[in-house]
Amino acid sequence: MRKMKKAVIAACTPPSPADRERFLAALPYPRLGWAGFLLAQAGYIRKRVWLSAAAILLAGTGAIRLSPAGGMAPVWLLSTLIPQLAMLTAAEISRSDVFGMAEVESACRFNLPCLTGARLLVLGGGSFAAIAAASVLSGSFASCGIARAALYILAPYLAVNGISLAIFSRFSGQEGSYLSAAAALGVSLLGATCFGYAQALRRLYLIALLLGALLGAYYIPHIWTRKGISYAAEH
Amino acid sequence: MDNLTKTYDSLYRYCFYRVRDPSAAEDITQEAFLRYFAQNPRLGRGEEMAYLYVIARNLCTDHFRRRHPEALREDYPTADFADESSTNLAIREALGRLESRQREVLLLRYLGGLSVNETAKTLAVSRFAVYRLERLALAEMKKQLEGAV
Repeated sequence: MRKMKKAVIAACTPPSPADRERFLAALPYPRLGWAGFLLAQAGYIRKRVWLSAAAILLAGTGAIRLSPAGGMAPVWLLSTLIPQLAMLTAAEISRSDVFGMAEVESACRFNLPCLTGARLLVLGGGSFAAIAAASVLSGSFASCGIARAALYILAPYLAVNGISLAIFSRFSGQEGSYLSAAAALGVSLLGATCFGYAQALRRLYLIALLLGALLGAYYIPHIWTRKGISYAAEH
Repeated sequence: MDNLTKTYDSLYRYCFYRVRDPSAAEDITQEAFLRYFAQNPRLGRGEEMAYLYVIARNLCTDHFRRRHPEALREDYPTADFADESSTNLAIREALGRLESRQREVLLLRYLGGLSVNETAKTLAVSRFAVYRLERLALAEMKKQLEGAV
């Protein structure tokens, strides 16, 4: 069958179209804009990521609202849940590596850095909106002010993302996913432990998280160069 | 733009082997593109390729309805007659002698490069029917080619 297919294709070579270039140059072709591109990429993010993120934040918000503890407790509880959300984001961004498809994506119409950037924007934007909603619903802002609450809540998110990106740039496949999950769990446990201790320890915890986030910022270009561009250069 | 050029070439090839006239095939290809983009701006995202081929197929049918009195050529003209091998000639003759639905499936699948799903959508038949027509067409062509040798 394959042989016959090749033979038919080889036998049926029409004369070259005479007017193709002129027609295509003049064709009012609707090009894909940035909004369309982001929307298309949002469609490629698995539904289970959005559902898991919503479940984590709804569960956290519900627990905070039902909890009798006041003061900084809502912020800390939310802060210990956020790393799980960050782990989902990092795992989704590194999906092509887990499934060994990075080199294929880098050869497609939109290359890997472009796709990763778009998905980071969509996931980050979505997560940010969800965190903001959860913070408002759980009353975190009311307990200690917007700036402080945002620092406590966003620091673990950024830190886990940063650590996960650093992990994914060094470890491939499932190994990277397990290590990323361990990092998220570690940050959550550390946050929960620090909550019961002195203010100085909490500050130390926050500084450690911010360092983790900076580490991630350093490693963002590395996931592209290691998986995408370097592959293109080698082949 | 590369995708568009590729789509243009595939569609032109399909139209050419339907109407057997280069200039008419190119006119139909361009008309199909214009109508497609006037109604559906999503070709760039790889969607609804079948719809483009449905337009082209209908335009080919319209072309035959208002056909000029001149008779169809017995063989399909090709790019270079000097390089023509007897095998290619026999394959094209066998293709021309196929039952119209079977020929249509081969043209869409092989020359148009459509998937089974897209072919089924274009012809408004089931996937199973496409598989069956393709198998029958290939068997028939094989029989004819063996007879020719």
